[in-house]
Amino acid sequence: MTSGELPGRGADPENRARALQSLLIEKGLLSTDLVDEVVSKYETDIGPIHGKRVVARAWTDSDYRDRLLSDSTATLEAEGHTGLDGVEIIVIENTDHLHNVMVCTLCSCFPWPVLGLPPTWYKQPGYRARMVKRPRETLREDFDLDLDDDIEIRVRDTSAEVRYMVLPRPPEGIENVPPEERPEYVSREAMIGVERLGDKHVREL
Amino acid sequence: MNLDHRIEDVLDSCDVPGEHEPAFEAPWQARAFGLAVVLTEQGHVDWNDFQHRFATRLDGREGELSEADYYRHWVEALEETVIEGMASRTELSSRVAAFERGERDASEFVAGVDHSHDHSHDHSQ
Repeated sequence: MTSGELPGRGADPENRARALQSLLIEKGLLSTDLVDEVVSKYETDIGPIHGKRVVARAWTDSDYRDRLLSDSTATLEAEGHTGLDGVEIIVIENTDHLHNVMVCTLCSCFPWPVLGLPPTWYKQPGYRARMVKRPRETLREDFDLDLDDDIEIRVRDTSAEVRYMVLPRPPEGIENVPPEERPEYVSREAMIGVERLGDKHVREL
Repeated sequence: MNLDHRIEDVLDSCDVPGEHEPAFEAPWQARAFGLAVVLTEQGHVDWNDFQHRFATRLDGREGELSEADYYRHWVEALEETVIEGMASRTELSSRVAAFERGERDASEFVAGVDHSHDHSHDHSQ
């Protein structure tokens, strides 16, 4: 661990970021094109849409669902939803009596390749602390999600190496929705675990 | 099927709060994010190592964490990582100072602008 003050300390973060880029380009370690490409990918292409498609497919294709649950990382990689090396993504399914919710008590690790960038509320220290200690209350108070006592809640702590993604139960009526429209009924919140879709009908979503 | 069109269709139709949050509040945040990802993809930075440095900086934080705070810690973790092998502390602090003084600006990242006059190509020192 480097000791001492950081070189950019006290400077405007904009200048610090620019200085890093400027120097790294000069050193031949990266190019502006690459940086722009990554930013563009995460702003537009990589968002919850991949996760939504994965969920929608799992809802009606049971072979895919089985593969997804037994080896999530491999199944996702085969579709090109790769992210960073060495990071495993595990898809966990909700059932009528089990509800999963994700947190990262370290920082804000998130399954970026399938869900994009984490929402601001997810990154708050308060969210993490409360969800781990009092999940049922937190879901009710912060997310309007009131779960009966007979539903077990499992809080999944995401780490740098292992990221979780929830496979929510399908809403009623999903089989009548054309396949290409089904991803629209999945939300990022449901894939994090602060929303429950199985209790709703598609017309409510 | 045109995937881009499909993506837009779906995004436009989603009415879930937070779906349309901008990914970054300011360009420097995008830049910081992009730098970390590219350095990792190029193999110059180990992602777990970066995450741990970042996590250490967030450790013990109380209260609300703004997007700006969050990405500032990214920048800090990046600086820490970079001066451990990719550049010297002095090089980086000089470069930061140059941007702070307005001697350099973001135009140097725009394709087609010639900056070769800034750099000495004599590496004999």
